Amino acid sequence: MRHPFRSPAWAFVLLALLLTCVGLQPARAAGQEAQQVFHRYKDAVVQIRIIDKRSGNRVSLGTGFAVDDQGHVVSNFHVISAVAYHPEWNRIEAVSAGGTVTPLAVVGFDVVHDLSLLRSKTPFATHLGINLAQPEKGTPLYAFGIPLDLDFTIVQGLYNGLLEKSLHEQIHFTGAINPGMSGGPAVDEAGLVVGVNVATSGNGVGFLVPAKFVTSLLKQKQGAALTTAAQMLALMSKQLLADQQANVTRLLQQPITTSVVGNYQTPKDWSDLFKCWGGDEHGSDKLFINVGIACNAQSSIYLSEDHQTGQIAYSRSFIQSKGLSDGQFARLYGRALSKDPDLPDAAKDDVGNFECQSGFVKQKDGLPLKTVFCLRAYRKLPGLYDMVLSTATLDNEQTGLINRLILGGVSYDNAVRISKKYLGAISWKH
Amino acid sequence: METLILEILDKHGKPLSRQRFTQFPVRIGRDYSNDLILDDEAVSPQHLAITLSEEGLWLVEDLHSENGTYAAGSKARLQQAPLPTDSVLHLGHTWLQLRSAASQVAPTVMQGGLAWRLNRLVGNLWFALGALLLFALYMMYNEYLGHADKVHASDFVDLGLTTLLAGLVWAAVWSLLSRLFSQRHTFREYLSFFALGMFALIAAGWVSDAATYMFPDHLLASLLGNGFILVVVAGICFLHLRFATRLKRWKIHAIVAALCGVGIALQVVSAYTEQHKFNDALQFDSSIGNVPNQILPYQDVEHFFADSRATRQDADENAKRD
Repeated sequence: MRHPFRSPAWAFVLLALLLTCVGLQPARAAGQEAQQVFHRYKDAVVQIRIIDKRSGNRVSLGTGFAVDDQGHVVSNFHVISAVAYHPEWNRIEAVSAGGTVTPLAVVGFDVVHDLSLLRSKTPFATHLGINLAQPEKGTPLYAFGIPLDLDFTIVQGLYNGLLEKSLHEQIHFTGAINPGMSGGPAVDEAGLVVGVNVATSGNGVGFLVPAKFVTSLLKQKQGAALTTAAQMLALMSKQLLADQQANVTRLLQQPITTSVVGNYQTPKDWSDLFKCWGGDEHGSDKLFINVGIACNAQSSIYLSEDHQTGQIAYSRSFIQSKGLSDGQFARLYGRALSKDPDLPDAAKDDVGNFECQSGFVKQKDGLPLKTVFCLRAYRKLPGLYDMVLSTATLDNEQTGLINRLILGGVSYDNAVRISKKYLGAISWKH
Repeated sequence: METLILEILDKHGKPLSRQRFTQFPVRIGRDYSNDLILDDEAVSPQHLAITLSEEGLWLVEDLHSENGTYAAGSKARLQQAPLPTDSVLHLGHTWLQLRSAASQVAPTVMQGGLAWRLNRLVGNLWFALGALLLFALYMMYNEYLGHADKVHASDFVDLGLTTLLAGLVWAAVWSLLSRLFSQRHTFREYLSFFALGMFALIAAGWVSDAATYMFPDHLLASLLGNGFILVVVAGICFLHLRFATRLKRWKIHAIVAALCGVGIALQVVSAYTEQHKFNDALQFDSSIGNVPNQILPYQDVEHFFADSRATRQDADENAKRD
């Protein structure tokens, strides 16, 4: 999943696809519906611009919508994240369909669900209500936004249900969400907001933040505007710590089912939150097989352009010699262990270097493991760490099993807790 | 009848030539009328004379030379002084050592002694070539270990040949230096040193790898491992310099120590920059099977994670660093 706002190149491809599709589709009666919805609610929608205070250049663009008659506007967090990190360098403004420019202040945000709450001194002409009821699958929705800075646009699509098997719930919206539409509302025919545009997987598969999180966000309305990076980071810290606590607690309660690979029992399923993909390595010229599987909870949270957090993933690879000498196998196995896994994106400003601890752990049943536990601390959000746990079985000179668990943005205590649980699921075949 | 033997020394203290005198006084200078003629432009035509004193010492008298005569290690210009046998004089650019029949010589290297046997062994062409060949074979085996696909011995022939060639070039360069600086023929010795040195390095590498594998996060293990490698490198440097030059032993020691110092300093600097450079890769010893699994220091899960508090502290430190 990518944030449409972040990848303009993709967006052009998508736009081209969208235009082709529109061209091919026969005109429908629904078109009139869309016209009406557009004319009725377009004044509640604004373009959100992030402007560099020194140069006056636009840093990023998105969409937002008015939610009350006091000047409150909702958008995505990822649209305004440049302001959250550097309010001293950047400012926010709203541009209405009529071209009126209004400055906005950050009142609050929900970094976990990628929402932000902004406030203008002057209220907007109209605002949108919230629909908390879940529509039927197939209900038409209309997503508003300013894709690629083109113009105020309405996109018709279908509600395709909540993605419930996810740590952060999202609505699956079948419709083209493009860069610049992030933060725009997706409304039903009555004009009530069902979700907020947030991401796309391309080919008309879009994602919305469910409206119930907008309602929760509106509770932050009473607060004073957040004007310093320290205030914003403190709020981010609080929300991320609470989120990882909830996620880890949930995972600790879920049993890990194991499957047999070679002589080992190894983690297979860990609740239905994870999606798994297999990856095998073999060939006629290779003297080994490597059977791998990688599972991911798709719970990534956007913090800034080069910093993501919230990932939870685990993987394994089972390597078996098919005629290698013991010495060759040991080298191959060591290379497999050193292979860098998919780590959460982060830059120098966000995190420190990894610190790894290696040791030889004997499991309760006697299975010997080379175990490596790595942590890197967040610089601006103290108390959060990216964590990698890697293990390699050491009981055989011709086969081996490497297991890996990766969590982005967890507390130290939770990193240890979840690592212990995961380690507990690796053993000899019962 | 007392005999004076005058040795002209090179700047490392090794005799370049010797001359025996039984008639005194012995006159020394650049002029053809002297008993010992020195081709040294900084020596006066009549520079100095040596006679036998009554106490059995050598009476050295400077003949009002322009640049003077000095006893080794002294800055005072020598006019006339009695000096014992084995004293060294400095005149112009020349070093002279006064010897007599009483001068001691180093003990004979015994044939069949360890030093003699070792010398013979490293100087043996067949031994040297055999060691080099063995090293080339090891290199090929090492390359083979890195492969996990179907390979033929022929895939490694070029590596073996390159290794042989490298050994030959190495020995040729060093023996050329040895010819220039110490007029010795040492090609076979250097061939042996190359192969034996490489084997010593490999052995030290094994010790180092085993130590860091068994005790991955212990400073002592990595120091011990690196220490071994350092000692071997120092030994190789010492042997090379000893055979290539006529430097005094303490000078070779000083050079080797300085080289080791530079090596350690480079290591420290690179460790420091490594620590201060942003790196989003995991850094740990990923090797497997360096020592038998039975002798590994195993922990249970609880103890392993009890140690992770230190890891957390280190990670916190990393995040505070700029």
